[in-house]
Amino acid sequence: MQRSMPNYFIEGMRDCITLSLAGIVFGLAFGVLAHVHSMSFLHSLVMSASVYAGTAQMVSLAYWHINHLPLLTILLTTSIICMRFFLMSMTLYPVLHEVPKWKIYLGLLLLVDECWALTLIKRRKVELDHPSLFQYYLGAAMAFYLAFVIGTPIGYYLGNIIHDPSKFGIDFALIAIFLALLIGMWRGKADAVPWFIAGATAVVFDYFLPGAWHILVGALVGSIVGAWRAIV
Amino acid sequence: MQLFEIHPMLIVVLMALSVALIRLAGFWLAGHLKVSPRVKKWLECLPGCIIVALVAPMLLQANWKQWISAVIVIAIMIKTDNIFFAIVVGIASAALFRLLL
Repeated sequence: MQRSMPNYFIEGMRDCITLSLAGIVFGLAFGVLAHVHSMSFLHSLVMSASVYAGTAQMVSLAYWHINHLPLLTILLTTSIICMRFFLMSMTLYPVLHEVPKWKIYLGLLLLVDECWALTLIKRRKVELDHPSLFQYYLGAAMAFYLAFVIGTPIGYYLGNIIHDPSKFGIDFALIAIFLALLIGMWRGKADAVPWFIAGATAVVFDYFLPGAWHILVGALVGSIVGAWRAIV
Repeated sequence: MQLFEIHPMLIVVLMALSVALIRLAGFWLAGHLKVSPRVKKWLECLPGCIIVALVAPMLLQANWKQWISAVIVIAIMIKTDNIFFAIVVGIASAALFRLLL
């Protein structure tokens, strides 16, 4: 079967375009807030390019005092918020493990919700082999990464004019993105019970526990119930 | 509790290292787990549950205008299965409701 090799990298980038527009806005929002919290331009840019986790970065700003940075608090909060990346990265193993390790670990540095979900949705629609799916993942991941990193300095300069980025409806953009991705992941009625349990657990833990533990706990409880129901 | 000043750039670097470690650790661990049928089922069920756990508390804190937009996103996704379209219309409708209502 010698067809010309389809370029899944480009396809991944293309599928991620809408999400990347949102990515620019998230980067922008962080840039504005960084300015407002008097983080330096350089720190904000390096943070977006290296930490690359919007929510965690925004939360860290709350601790960003000029003379008194609580290192442990910042690291702990960041890690808890990003713990979902740990779970996401696990779920990629079954569909990407044939890719050479050094490639996959480099690629995983760009793992965020959006490109991860797109990749799994793609995999559900088409039975791609591991290297092709990895190309797709990398395309989506890089499109989103570039958008977010470019958005940050723009937002930083806009921080002179804008002080409250929530006015741009970013809160709903997140909801819209996650809902659309979620429906794209629906596999059938078997998902209903675990999803409901995951959501209910997350809501309860969000209410009682500070930080972002609810994501981890909700996802684990829901998925364990789902796995248990599928086997028994 | 801080006795000495820490250079902000050092904090940025340490944050980046922690998050990078988290991103890689999941994949690494999955490769060292015995992937029994049970674990496989679990890994298949996990993605949807992660997103539900992320979005459910956000939805609960949203206002009724945003709920209508949320229903619009879901409806478009079910009808067309087009992520692009669903997100654009959803955000546009949220903006519109914000202006009008």
